[in-house]
Amino acid sequence: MAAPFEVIAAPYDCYVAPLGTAFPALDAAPAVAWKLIGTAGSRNQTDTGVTVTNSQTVGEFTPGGSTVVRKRWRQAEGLTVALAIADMSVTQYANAVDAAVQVVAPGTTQAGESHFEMFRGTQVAAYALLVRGISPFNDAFIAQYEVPSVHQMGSPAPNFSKQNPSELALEWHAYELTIGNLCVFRAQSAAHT
Amino acid sequence: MTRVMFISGSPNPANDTFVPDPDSGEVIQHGGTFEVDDQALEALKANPHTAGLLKEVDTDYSQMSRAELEEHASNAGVQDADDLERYPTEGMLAVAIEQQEDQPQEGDPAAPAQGAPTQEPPAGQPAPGQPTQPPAPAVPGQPVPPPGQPGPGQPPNPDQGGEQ
Repeated sequence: MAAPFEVIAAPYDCYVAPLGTAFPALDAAPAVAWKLIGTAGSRNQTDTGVTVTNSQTVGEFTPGGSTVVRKRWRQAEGLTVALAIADMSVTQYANAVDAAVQVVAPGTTQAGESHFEMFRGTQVAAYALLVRGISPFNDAFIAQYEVPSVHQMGSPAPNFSKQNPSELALEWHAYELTIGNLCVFRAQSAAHT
Repeated sequence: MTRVMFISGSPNPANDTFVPDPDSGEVIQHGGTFEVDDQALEALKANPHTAGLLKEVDTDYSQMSRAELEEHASNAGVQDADDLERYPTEGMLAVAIEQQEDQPQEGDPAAPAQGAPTQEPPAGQPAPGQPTQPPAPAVPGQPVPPPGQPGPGQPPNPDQGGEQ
């Protein structure tokens, strides 16, 4: 794409990693701990792409002596990252429901298989999340959302039909693990000196 | 016999397991190792669903205590090896040690060119990061990157140690 670079019309890739994993530098590849969402990344995303939402709830005070708001304060805020992938691989499906996978190699009495249990219990798995794509400074560069702590709060509901591919709806909600840090958006503006 | 480590492909691998031989029923945790003969190893490597989860290793990490593992990891260059939140299981630490040893060194031309968006340009169009014409300055006064400058997934300095 050409200028204006601040107009971005391109998919972003999502990666998840164990909590505490360091975020990659903008001009470095993500480390192996970062697992791509969708076996082929954005090529497994549905065409609605990745949506990053900053939500908030703001309280208001309208005094008895006026008809106009005199004060507002933020009561709550959040950040969510949502996308859907057309990818029913066991690894991706298990990740969507926070499940542990058991991979079984083929044996003389049993076929090879992978499986996971969908019962999850009370514990909610936490991850670090990286959303990565082109930079609004220059599409030769990278921009990324660095979300240090998220929970997968989506409710995957794959539908099996001949009309459309089965999809997994994913929605990560950030939470404050490190005080004062919800998410950093970082955009590369220049190459290494 | 060859020692092999199971490395889960999951972002939350602590509870993932591998059964190398369902007839024996042995269950290997993420980062755990097992021994196989050459024939079994060839079969596992020939299976695309298991090949990517296995790595031949020299060390049996299960013989080490957590403290020994942390020391081994620190010596191997693993950051924050004593961070229980980052490495809640010994297996995750063992995997980190193995992956640290596999990290491309600075200046290694074989450094992987990952990280770019997985979009692909339409036929006949340049790949992301390789515009047909020199890009305009991103900021007034900032020099224009020279033509042929590497794209986002092809850093000019393939330094894989650039974690923040």
